[in-house]
Amino acid sequence: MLTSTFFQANNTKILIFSGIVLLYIAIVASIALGPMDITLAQSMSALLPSQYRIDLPAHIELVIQQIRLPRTLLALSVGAILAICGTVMQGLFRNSLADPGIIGVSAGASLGAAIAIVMFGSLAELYPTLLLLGAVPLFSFMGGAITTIIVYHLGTSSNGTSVTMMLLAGVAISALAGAGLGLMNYYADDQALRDLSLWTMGSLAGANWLGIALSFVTLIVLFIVFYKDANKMDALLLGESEAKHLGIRVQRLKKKLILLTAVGVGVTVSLSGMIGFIGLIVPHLGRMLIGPRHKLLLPVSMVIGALLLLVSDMIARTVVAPLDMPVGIVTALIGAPFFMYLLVKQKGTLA
Amino acid sequence: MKNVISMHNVTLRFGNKTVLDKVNLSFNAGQLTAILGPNGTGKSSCLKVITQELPLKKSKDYELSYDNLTLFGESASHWQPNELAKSLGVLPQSSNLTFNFSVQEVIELGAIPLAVSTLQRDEIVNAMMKKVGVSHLADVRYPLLSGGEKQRVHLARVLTQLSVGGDKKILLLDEPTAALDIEYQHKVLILAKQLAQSGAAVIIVIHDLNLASQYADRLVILNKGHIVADGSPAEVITKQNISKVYQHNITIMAHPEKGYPLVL
Repeated sequence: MLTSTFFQANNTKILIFSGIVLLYIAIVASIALGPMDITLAQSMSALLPSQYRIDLPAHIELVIQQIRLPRTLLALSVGAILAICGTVMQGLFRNSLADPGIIGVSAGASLGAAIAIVMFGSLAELYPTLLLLGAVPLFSFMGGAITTIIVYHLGTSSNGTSVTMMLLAGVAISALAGAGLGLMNYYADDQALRDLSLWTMGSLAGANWLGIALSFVTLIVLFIVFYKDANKMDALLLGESEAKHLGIRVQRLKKKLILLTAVGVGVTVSLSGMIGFIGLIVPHLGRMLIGPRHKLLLPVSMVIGALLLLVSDMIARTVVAPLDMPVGIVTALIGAPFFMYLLVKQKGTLA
Repeated sequence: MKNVISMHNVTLRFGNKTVLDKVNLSFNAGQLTAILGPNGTGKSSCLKVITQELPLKKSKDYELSYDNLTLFGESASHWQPNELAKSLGVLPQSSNLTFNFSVQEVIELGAIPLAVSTLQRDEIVNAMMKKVGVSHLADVRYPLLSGGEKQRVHLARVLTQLSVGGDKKILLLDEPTAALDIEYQHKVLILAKQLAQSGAAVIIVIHDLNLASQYADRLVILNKGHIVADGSPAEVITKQNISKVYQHNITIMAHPEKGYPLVL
């Protein structure tokens, strides 16, 4: 795959078109899929503005509005956030093995979320919104940010990032966060315990409209800021000195990127727990399609990430139907072998 | 001749090792200056002082201090990084870029500090690829190149970066010829020389005394933190200077056709 990329830059129109078509197909399928039978036609109609819709039976309308659509939208936005954060993180570490899950950032974020749930759990009945959109994402973000900074400082020197150090730091931090998470279980009451169990494998079952709003706002803000810095991230891939010689304020850029990826991971973890490997796989697929330039890679990753998590969630909903499996199991089943494949490919160069 | 870089009383110390000891140096526009000296004598550090990569601070195991460092007559710290990048380019010793950019994309990175349209950028990039001789590699993925090809790609990138700098140009080259075969060693130095003749200040850190002697207008030899020789090749490449600095008995003779001194 090194010799060429699948698409040339001038094929962007085809790329945008196929992205939209694939997203549409996936959304329609996702709404139609589940224990209650909803036809593809009903699903397509539910996506139209109200004056064009066919009348749906009330119970189907309810299931679509309350369950299927929220879950679909959450999958899309969380997948997209994880994918662009993975892309940025790989650029920041100048290494294509970086991923929020693998280097322990998700673990740190989920510890933050767990602390918030246990600390503020008693307030949940009085102020559910404050907890869902306030304390949990905030603590989750702080956990993610602290972890990223630690891993970055452990793994990076002026010569770039040492993969070994980065991965080992991730192992250490994941273990530490896992212990903290275990500790939180003992302080948690029943409700909090149920919430905590969600964090360990990652699930989109808790989708609600407030959470969806939060994740889409996060996605839009992150995308705009990352996109503006796309060229600078390209330059950073040359090395920090080289980026500095190109007039880029490297320290400032790095801080900004670390902070924003932590925001992205924090928000996704607070909404759907630890969903691994999306941030690892998607940038690779994106680079195979259109090459490593961030101006194209970021939007392409965003779309692939949304698609990948949505399809994974559809699998999670169907393989053990009528039960509902955490989507993190599916992404790990796809992602972990992919990670091993990347390790084998880089075997000679790891140091 | 216009002075474009000047540094006064530069001291650089790592731990107990003083790399530069109260060094004064200045560089002129229109000159190709080669900095020579044994390994570990602060040649590359000199370049890093100019690019302000090394922090200006003093602690137990590190010190960088100077009275002043001016670039184009203005204090270096007053320059906006983005503005300075149009006038100050650095060709690194090596780059560990592992992502699969095409050669053209790598060279386009040189246009980041420039405020030019895509059309203008493509024009500049094409011209620089031609100048350096990498046009035929434009669509090849960078990680597949040989060391020498990579080096030339980065030279084209840096030349792109300096393409709108006007008469304010500094090019720093850190051992640019190390990875190159003899043909491209000369090509790179000819390009550097042309750039100097067009008015840029070109500073090159190099080990090959004969290449330096052939192309540079001025040679500076650093040893143990001090400048031990500074002048034209004929003034600097003497049996006494070279034997002392490199602790090796050598013979100097003039090039049979061109007359510049050769070290045997």
